[in-house]
Amino acid sequence: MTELESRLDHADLSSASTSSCSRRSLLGKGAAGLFSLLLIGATLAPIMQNWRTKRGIDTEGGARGDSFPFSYYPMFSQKRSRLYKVNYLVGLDAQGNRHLISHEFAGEGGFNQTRRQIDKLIRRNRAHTLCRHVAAQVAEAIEPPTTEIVTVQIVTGAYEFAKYFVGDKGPVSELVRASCPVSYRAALQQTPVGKP
Amino acid sequence: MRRLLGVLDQFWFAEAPAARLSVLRILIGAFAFYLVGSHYEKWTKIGHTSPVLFQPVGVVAILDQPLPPVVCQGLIIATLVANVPFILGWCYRFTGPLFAALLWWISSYRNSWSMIYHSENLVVLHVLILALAPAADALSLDSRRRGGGRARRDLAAGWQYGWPIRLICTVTVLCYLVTGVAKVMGPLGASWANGEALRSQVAADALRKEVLGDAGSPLFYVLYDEVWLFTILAVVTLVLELGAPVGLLNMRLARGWALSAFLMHWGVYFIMGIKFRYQLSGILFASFFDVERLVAWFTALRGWGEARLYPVGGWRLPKVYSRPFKP
Repeated sequence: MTELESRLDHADLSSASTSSCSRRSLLGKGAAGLFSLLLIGATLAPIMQNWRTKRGIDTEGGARGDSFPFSYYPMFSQKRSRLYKVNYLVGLDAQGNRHLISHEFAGEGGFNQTRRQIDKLIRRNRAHTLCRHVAAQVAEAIEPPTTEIVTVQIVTGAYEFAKYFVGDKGPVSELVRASCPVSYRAALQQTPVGKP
Repeated sequence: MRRLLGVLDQFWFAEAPAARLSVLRILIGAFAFYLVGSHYEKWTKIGHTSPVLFQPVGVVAILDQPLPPVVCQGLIIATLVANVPFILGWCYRFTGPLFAALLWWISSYRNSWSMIYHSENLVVLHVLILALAPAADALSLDSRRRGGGRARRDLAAGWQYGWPIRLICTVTVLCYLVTGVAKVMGPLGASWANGEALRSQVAADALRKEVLGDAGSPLFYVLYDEVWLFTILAVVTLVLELGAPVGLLNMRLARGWALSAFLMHWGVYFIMGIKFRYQLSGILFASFFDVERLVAWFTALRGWGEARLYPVGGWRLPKVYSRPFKP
């Protein structure tokens, strides 16, 4: 009898332990399931942005409503015409020769981020501020041909892909948004040699 | 209803070895360290950018204006410091979520300056999932500290190790699906697949890289006139993106999809010169494979090296460390 009671007690304990374990497991699965559903929902939700915004693009030229890390990944979905407009930086030396200036003189965030920042500043009519900033950076350059640049220009060029990629690299049209001298080098150019 | 719940339970909470989740923690944690570490200078300099260009996204949207540069730099350093215990699995219950929160913040902050780098989204999401899962129950300092049954825990399988892997795979394929939907829902619609759109995207990218002093891909000049090639690439891209969820139905399909997507990114690199580092490294797709085998290979390799270095007698590692891993 005592042995039977002991066995029954043991069975009860074992069943209680199993039940507690399965309850914990169920709670764990519930929490994991809820987290999974939330994350899946957050990943899929940005799809709605395609319907919400007209063509997904705003007047800023960027993707409206895009976010991080939950995005609707609008890159590569834009429609492009044969004529492509791009903003860039041009340097002129004392002889009037043109040199393309690297985006690194305009910003620190890597190629695409700096490119977007240049576009944004031009859209907000701050091309002159950008030009002065680039000119100041160019003035500190130590390697030619950048050291020969006396004037910096912020330019919008229109290019035709079909021509550009067969070797005709000139722009179809070009608009100078801002122009400014590279301060100390421009002063040196104007100062006659031998005079302080 | 019960049957449906049973099927869902079997699908979502299928058992997986603890070591698989832990290898993912190490691989993804190591990539995050590389990502933040290799961009340390660039990301800290962003803090000095003009506030005019500040366009906060994600969690950073709570800010009206940028943080002082020194705070931004401090957070990046804190992220790198927290990254180390994440990889090693030390005090993981605290360091895991802390690292995930810091990485989320600094990545959002870095993307709050007029440009979102979409290649970083999945790193953050994968780290978040790992941080909230028991990813340090094996191959970690925590599991060593618990002692005794280290090897047993490394071999253990359970539903708690399966669902995070399933979630990582799901979030990955869903991101590809969202990307594909944006293409066909965009202004081009289904005509995106005819190749012209893709070619013009690549052309725009190459042209602006050239005029802004960055390196484009020389291969694009050779391929520019081959529209048929861009048509094939566009169709393959759409199939892989819109068809990504099919990969969740079956492990063989999932692996086939992962391998194809991996190759697609290498194709993008060769043609466009765009480095999606997380994708190119293959770590993004590691959750689709039995990555715990890497431990067995590593152990076997070490054993082979030891045998060559110390053929007779000499110093050897204790047996428990040199024993091959058998799942």
